[in-house]
Amino acid sequence: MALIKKPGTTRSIGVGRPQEDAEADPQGTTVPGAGQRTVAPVMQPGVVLQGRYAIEDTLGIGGMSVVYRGRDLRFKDVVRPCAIKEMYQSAPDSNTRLLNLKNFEREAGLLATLQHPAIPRVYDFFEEHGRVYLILELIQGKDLETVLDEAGGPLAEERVARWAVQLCEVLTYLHNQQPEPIVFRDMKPSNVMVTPDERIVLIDFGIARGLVRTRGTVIGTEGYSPPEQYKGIAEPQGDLYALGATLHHLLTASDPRTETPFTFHERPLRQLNPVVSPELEAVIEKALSYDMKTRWASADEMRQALLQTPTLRSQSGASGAAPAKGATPRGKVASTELVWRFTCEDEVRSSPHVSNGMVFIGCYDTNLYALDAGRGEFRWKYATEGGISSSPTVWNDIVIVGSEDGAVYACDLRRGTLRWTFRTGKPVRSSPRVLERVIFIGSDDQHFYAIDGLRGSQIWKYRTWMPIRSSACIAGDSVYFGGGDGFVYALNMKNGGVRWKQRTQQPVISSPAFAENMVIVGSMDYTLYALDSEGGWPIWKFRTNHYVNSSPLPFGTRVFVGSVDGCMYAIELKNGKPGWKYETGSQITSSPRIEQGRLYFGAADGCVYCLDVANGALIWRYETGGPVVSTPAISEGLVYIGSLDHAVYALRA
Amino acid sequence: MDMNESDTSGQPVDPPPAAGDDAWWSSTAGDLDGTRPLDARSVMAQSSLPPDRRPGDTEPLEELEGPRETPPAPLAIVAAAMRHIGQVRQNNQDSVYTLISSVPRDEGDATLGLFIVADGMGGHDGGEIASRLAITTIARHIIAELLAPALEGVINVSLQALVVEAVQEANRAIWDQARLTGSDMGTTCTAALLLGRSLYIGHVGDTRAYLIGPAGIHQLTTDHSAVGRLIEMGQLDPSESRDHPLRSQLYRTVGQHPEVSVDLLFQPIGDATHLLLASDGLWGCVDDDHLARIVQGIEAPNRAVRSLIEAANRAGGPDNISAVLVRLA
Repeated sequence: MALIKKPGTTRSIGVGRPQEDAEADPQGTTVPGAGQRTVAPVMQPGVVLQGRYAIEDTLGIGGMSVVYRGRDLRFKDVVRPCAIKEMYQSAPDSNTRLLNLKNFEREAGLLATLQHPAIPRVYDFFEEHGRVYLILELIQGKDLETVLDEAGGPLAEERVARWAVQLCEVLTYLHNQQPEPIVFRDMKPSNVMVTPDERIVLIDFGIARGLVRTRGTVIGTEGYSPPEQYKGIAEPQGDLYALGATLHHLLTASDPRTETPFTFHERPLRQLNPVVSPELEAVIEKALSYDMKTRWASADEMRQALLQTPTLRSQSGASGAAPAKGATPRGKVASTELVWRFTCEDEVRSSPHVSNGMVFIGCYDTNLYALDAGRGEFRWKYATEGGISSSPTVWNDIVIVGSEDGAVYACDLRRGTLRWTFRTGKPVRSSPRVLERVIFIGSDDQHFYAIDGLRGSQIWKYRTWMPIRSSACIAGDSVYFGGGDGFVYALNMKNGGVRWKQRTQQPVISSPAFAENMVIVGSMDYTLYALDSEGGWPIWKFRTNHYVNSSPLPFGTRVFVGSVDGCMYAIELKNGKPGWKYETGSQITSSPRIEQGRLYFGAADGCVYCLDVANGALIWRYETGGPVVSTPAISEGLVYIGSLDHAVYALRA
Repeated sequence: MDMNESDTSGQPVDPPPAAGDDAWWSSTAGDLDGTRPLDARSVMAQSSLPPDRRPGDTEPLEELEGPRETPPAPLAIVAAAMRHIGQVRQNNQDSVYTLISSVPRDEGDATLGLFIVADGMGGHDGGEIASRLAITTIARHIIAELLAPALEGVINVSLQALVVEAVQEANRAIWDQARLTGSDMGTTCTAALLLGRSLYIGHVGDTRAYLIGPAGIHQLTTDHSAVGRLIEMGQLDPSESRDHPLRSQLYRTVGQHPEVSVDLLFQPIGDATHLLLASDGLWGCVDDDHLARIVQGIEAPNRAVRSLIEAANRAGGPDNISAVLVRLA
């Protein structure tokens, strides 16, 4: 294994710098973690260098230097504190030692030529007893990493914006040095001090250097370093990227060193901290552009932009009163247009199916209804001998639905005349699924049936231990469904032979979905399962706070599902991690449907919801007169759904 | 609905049999293959079986209910692992692990495999200790949480979570040990759990998992180096990764921080013939196509693995070389 393999920092040139978990000290070296083995030769308090600089305390020990708090004895009447940075060499390799020494000398030489309130002043530089020392202005205060740690969360926008302006100023100063710009190259919270009066000071110039436009050594700190630094390019724009990364860290408390490099755009600032203004987010986003050319052209340009962000603009008082925060009128939630409503004689728990310009839906008044999709006019109905909670489906020219009377009915699509019935022993609450000419459906009689769609005859049946209310999912030559016995079943579609069954802790009423070799289904054990479609083993589980009777809908890289806990969840297919959730405050057993980037579902509060599928933001909400357990169907810009208020609704999507 | 009332007698309307119908079910449907008009009463009769048998009823089920699925034969897999010190290093900081077990299941036994390569780093003996701790912790965790219950016929744990937890537990074990001894040790770790015909791969660092099949060699994992990330973003050419001076600089390792985020891949094996786990001492010296040629050219995994290690040594063997090769078919 290469010795270079150390996470956290790319300062690999024999510097042996401690890892990122080490605390930063106030003067630009780092204090190694307790586990650090290297022991620096620390001088004891009382030692005096050059007859002038007395050691008082150790501030920090880094990979190649120790920083002490000291006192300049030449000022006898006043206490003039200073920082004493001592370089020591631990690297066994003489080339490395030489390089280290050069770095140290460069830092000293560089600092000596600079004069800026945000850069520590150099008082002295000398060699004594074979060691090299740098005497620096002692900066009172804390570094930003410490400030962030102590805050335990994101820092306030205004405070960070003020620091950002100061950092832009000092970067402008460095970048405008002649004959060559100086690139700081290691901007990060631990290299920025903030004094008690909120003044910013850059520390640790160990690697800042004049710009030489050739492929150089890659130096910087992973997580903050710009991508081009890995190609050996160090331009002033690299400092702006690192500044952007630093600000992102301060405003989100999300440490870029523990994230995948260059993923800031995947973790938008305001998604992690919605309180940040969009204006400041935009400034930082531009600094974090992957491409150097699309970042701010200069630190000064970035500074100008920062000054226009709300917290600083309102402070400067130049512009009129900014809108007070949180004063956005919380007006009525947007609703949508009711296109038509059709009233039946009992609750509508069934979900609509739209086909051939008609909406088919079952009702507890025992009827299967066919309505005109555009105007909601009655076309026909077919009366079964029990209520209908099963949802109809259309195959060729027949509509198929199950009934509480125990039968599965097939009616002529246009006239509603009966083609065939298939009787089971108990109510049929599962909904039919069709592949080729075979209809798959479960029954409360504990059987799962494959029925010939042309004649209504049984092809095979499979017996479980409890009623089957889940509806099938067909993928490959397997058919998947859940059972009241808590099992999820995978059967051979051709003969009903069991391929696998996987137990959940409670009955499964939710209907499975298939995506990326996974069978995804909810259970009354509060969990959404993603099962290996070939073996049934749980790949991941996502736990909600109540029954998951809603049926999952995979879409894109996510799967969407509701829970009786009141939330609609967007869950990553890949790993079962939550993307977003929307809280209705009311039970959800309806299943989501997605059309044109919008997600629709109903809830027990009587509302039909329309959310932005990307982020779960509410677009509109329409209130019906009763709980909505029906799953919407969307067609031609209309959302069809049933309600327990006995009506079927067509709403503008 | 008046016009329908007369039709609710339940008499099915016989459609004409579909001509030339050779749908998949027609062969298994026996006398229901569409050649004989169906009597509605026979349908009724079918459903008159007592529907309310209770759970726990001893009556056999599937036997009654038509054909039983012929269980697919479990995967006949063979694995070989090897680690080699290479030509330059003074010690071998890599660790490898393999386990293959069958798991009994009513519907046919399944194969369970666990394959791990860990590439340790850190001064003194830290690298060896870290990589060894990684494989032992992960193996112990998976044996206890998955294999032992599976032998009892229960697999109810979330497999992604299991693999992630196992690697995180290894992370804690190494971190704790490092704090105790003042070491900076850490390790890469790529752990592949095979269950049935799917792989669950937990991954931290730059040890790689490859699937090799008719379509060639496919790298499943992404190296946790800035270089790897730049390649993933299309900013560096993959061929540059072998020579980049910072290739080995990892932003994520096992054991060097109190917490670690673990990449998890779910990968059905499909028609792949081999799974290969390789430390950077192997993939850094032997390019992907060469790896695939060796693996596909040698039937026995143990000889193929030896040949892989030899190839890396011929290329200079600058680092420890480790590989686990699993023949899946």
